[in-house]
Amino acid sequence: MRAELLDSNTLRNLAEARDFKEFLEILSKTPYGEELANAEIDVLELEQILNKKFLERLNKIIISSPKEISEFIKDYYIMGLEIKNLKRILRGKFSGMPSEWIARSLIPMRPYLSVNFEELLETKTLEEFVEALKETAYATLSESLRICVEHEVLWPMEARLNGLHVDRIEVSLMNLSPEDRVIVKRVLQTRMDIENLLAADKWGKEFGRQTPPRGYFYRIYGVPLEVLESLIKTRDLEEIIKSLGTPYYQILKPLLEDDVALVRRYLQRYIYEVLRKSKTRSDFAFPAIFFLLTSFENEIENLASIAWGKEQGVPPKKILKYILLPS
Amino acid sequence: MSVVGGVRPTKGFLLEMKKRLSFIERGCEFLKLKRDHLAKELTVALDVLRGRRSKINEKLRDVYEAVITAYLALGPSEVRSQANSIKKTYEIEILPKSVMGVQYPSMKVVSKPKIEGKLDPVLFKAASLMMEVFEEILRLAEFEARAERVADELGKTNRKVNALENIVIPSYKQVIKFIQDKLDEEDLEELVRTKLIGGVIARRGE
Repeated sequence: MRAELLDSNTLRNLAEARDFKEFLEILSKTPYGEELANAEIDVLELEQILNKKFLERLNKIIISSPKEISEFIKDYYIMGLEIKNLKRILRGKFSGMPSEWIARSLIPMRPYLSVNFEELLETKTLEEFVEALKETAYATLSESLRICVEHEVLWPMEARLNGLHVDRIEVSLMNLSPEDRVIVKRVLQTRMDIENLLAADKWGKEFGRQTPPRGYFYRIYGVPLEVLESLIKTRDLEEIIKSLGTPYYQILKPLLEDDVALVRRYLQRYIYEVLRKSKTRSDFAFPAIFFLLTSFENEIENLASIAWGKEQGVPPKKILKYILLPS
Repeated sequence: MSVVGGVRPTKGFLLEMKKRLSFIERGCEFLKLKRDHLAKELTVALDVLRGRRSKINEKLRDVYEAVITAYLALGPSEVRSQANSIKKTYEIEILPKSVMGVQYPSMKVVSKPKIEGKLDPVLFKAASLMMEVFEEILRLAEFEARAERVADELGKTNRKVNALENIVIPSYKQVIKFIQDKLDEEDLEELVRTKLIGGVIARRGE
């Protein structure tokens, strides 16, 4: 399966394609080619094809992995995709979008934690949506409903969904070996810390210096709450990110120029390198599997971004700035 | 106005014409004042518009870059999904306003979409830049409509002033001169007649 990964030259060629048509021609010569039987697809349809391919690969690995690893993979990736779908339905119900419109944006997957996507799509209001999740692992979403409706915001429910995901990962993490747990915790902590800092910066921009309510940072890891609140109150971004040291300073540096997208790319690069270095132990052990899946996940995100860029005539230099080329 | 046709060379008519001319000349002065004010208003408006347009073009470039970045970073499906969470659109009221008697549409934003607490930071940046530039475009459109109507009114006023100064007032003056001349002629004839008759009577008396 590792051979199916696209190398950086192929990704570069895709980013430098003349247009979307040439992009599809180059892509059809890769392992994605068999999915591109119909040449007349648009970017959104391509995204669905890429998601399906990722799910296929996930399922192959889940079937062939030991139980503890496959349970972790399901909780980390499949629940992650399910939550992405739930957020998309949630947004649509919040603003009253028709169900057909919402359905088009959903990742084509079988539900994981006793969620019924069709039933959720049929709900008419946000309240009905939350009620329909009563018997599932997402039942506690109802506790955030009142704040969402009262203040016309979505972050409480989205934060709760993220929190439920992290809770689940932390439980299945305990079934891995201590060395594997260290790797996952490092990845999880860095990701959560960076997202918390980005969320604190965004809160400051949206709502000024007022302290966010409880639950806004759904989990505090390495970066303490005082630092996050200090970022909101003082808005002294440079001082705060310098004080965090390596690797946070390097990852967050683009935030000084308000380039959040580049922060995420640097974060992706950091995680990629951590996993790449940790997989040297064995090609079949957990670190190698985790690295492979993370690489596949990065790849489909890259391809969706490049495809959209080609369709819109975005210059290759701009596209390459925001995608992760493998080492 | 026809110079001679319909003109009665009488003192009464002469007075009437003089009164009308004075009224027209006063009206012409007021129109000149209006013209000058409109010209000043238009000059200021054009200076402001030139500056604003180029600033907005710059901001639109920033918005465009931010939107592209959002799509590249999040992917098209995620951007559309998050955009779907925004409930309201802009509600704009268009009210008439007036400057120097010239009516133009004035735009008032009654309500705008609430984007806080809903979007990813990357998309929030693009959305807030877009909203800023959209409101500036509204203000620019209002200013442009105002400038256009002021320019239009300035043209009309200028044509009225020119017509009054070059056609109406000269023709009135011509008529007045004609009547004046006619009346002077009659006075002279009367004087000559009186002098002649006086001479004849004086000679008969001798």
